[in-house]
Amino acid sequence: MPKITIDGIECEVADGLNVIEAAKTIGIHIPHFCYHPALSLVGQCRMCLIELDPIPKLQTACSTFVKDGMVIRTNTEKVIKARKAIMEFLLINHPLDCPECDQAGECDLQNNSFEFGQGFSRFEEQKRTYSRDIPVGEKLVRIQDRCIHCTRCIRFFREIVQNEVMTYQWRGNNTAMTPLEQDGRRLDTNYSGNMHELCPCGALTLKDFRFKTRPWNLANTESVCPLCSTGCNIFIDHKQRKIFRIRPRVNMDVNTWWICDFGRIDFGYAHSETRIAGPRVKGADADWKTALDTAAGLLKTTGASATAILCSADATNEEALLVKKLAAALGCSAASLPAPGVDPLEMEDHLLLRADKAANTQGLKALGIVPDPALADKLSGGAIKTLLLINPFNKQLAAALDGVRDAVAKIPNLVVLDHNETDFSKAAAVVLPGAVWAEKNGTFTNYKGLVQRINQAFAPAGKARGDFDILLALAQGAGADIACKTHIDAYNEIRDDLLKLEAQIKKDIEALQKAAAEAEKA
Amino acid sequence: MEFSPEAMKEVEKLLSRYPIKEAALLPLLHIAQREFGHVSLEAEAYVASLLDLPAPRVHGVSTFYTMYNKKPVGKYHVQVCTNISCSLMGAEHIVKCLEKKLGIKPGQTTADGKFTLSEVECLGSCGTAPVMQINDDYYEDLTEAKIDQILGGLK
Repeated sequence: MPKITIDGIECEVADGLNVIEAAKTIGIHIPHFCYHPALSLVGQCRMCLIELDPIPKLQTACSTFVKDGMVIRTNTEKVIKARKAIMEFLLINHPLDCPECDQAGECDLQNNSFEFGQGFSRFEEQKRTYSRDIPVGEKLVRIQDRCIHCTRCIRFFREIVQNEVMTYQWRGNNTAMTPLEQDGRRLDTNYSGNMHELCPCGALTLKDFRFKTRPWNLANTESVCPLCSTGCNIFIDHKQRKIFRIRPRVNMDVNTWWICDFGRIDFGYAHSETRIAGPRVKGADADWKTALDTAAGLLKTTGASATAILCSADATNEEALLVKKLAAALGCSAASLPAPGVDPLEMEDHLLLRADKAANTQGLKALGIVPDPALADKLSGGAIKTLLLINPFNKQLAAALDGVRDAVAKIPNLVVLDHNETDFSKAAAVVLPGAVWAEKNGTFTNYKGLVQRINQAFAPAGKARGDFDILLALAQGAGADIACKTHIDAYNEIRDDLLKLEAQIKKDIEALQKAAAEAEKA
Repeated sequence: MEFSPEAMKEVEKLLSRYPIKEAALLPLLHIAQREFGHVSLEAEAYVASLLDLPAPRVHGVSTFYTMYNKKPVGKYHVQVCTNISCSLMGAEHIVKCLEKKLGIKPGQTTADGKFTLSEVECLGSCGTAPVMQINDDYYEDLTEAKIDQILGGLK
């Protein structure tokens, strides 16, 4: 481990770090635009210049790698002057239209200008302009005037998405980053939304979020994306119980810096008009007590063999525990259905997307709620007279139910717990309005067995309640004695099971990798 | 869209010269311009396919160099130097004369497709300024009378 000195502070840092990362480890921020830890080094914005003894000229911190005995200075007069000059250069053609720019408030250019710039410009000539608001694919809008030519977007497509669509055309005074879509190259890959976070200025803004609100007006809740089994870490940015956008949250074990566009944009169902407004009994609005009592009564009427609980894998681990306890109290089975094939566009890929479009398949498995292929036959054959159907709105469960849609809708004692209306909720004897993931606390277990916490961003919409509370009331109504009254109690109860599964999956993955490596050798 | 067999031979020779295919990009774009008259997006994609490169990268390169014509040019491509030395020696007047005689502005092509007029940067012949280049030939020490004579000689 090389010993280096940064601004007079001696420290020992990991091998192979560049100076930006090394400085970060001791809390020194070196401003930069083109450097991104996930992308190749180009050293072209010149913002990260530092002094490196005994080299007389300033060096770029991004492309300088630590060596034993290095002496680095990031706060000398020479460096401060260079930063001011670079900021002045970068802002020569930048329109400084922060008041109408969506990036304002979370803009590297704005922040660095404020912190390291000189606050005035000697440039009196006309700024170069382009036509504004050009759509870049279906998700982004480009304002070329603002671009500072860091090439992060180009490198992102070349290196991360591995589908080179962006390029700079007319390099020189009229440089413009341009998507060139031909020969099957699509800009609308499932990851193009990430360019919005990558862009260090406001040149690429999200169509979905433009002019809706300011980032500083939004509360940021740490959560996990529920749309597939990868479990990408996200921020839910919300205001007044409404989600405005989803952003990736760095987790090097799961999603690194990125999320897919489905996770970024598909949150409309949390606020859709089809949210179930309130509890219903036999199609008529009811209060919660009546609905819960009726549901608990119904579940006990037809005997264990004609009763079943069918649960989507979007339930949290804690909810799954209650499902299991409810099933035990009723003496019936609790299962999910085998997942059918998915849309090829949303298939598994080399980056984040996984074919399993439910958040918590592994967690349910750890608790013994597994896909039951025989259940579909039982449903279509009419053997099930009483069914608690949890979250049939989930894409994967909805697809699995496709073949038995009519049979399920005809089940006499159908109790549906869900957040959005479906054919099933419309046909159900009792409807219990539940919460979407943003309204829940709990944990999901991702495909690698990693148990990840989701936090409640805001209370369930309207009369809806958290699924955990609903299941707790149902289980108690069914006569179960349940000690865990909160999601934290429930987590503590299942913690060991979940961790055991994680260790098992880790072992399985290692074994698979070893086998693959050996197969490659042979 | 394909190169002629002779051009393909040239391409093979060029490719054998470099350790990586991408290095042959500029000469291949020159061949494309010669073969197809100008470097269109299709021509870029074709060159990209020959070099196993993504087409956007070829586009980035071809748009940087002004000597690759991105639009079709006339039979005679009249390129007038308007850089410092030629400007001092009256290049602006030469451009005006050509505009009047050809009836087009720089960047345009005559309706019959015979002439395209361009302003270009230094042609490297400052000693004989003002200078213009028509296709591959230089015309030096230009005057209005000389231009009449030159254009008259082009059929």
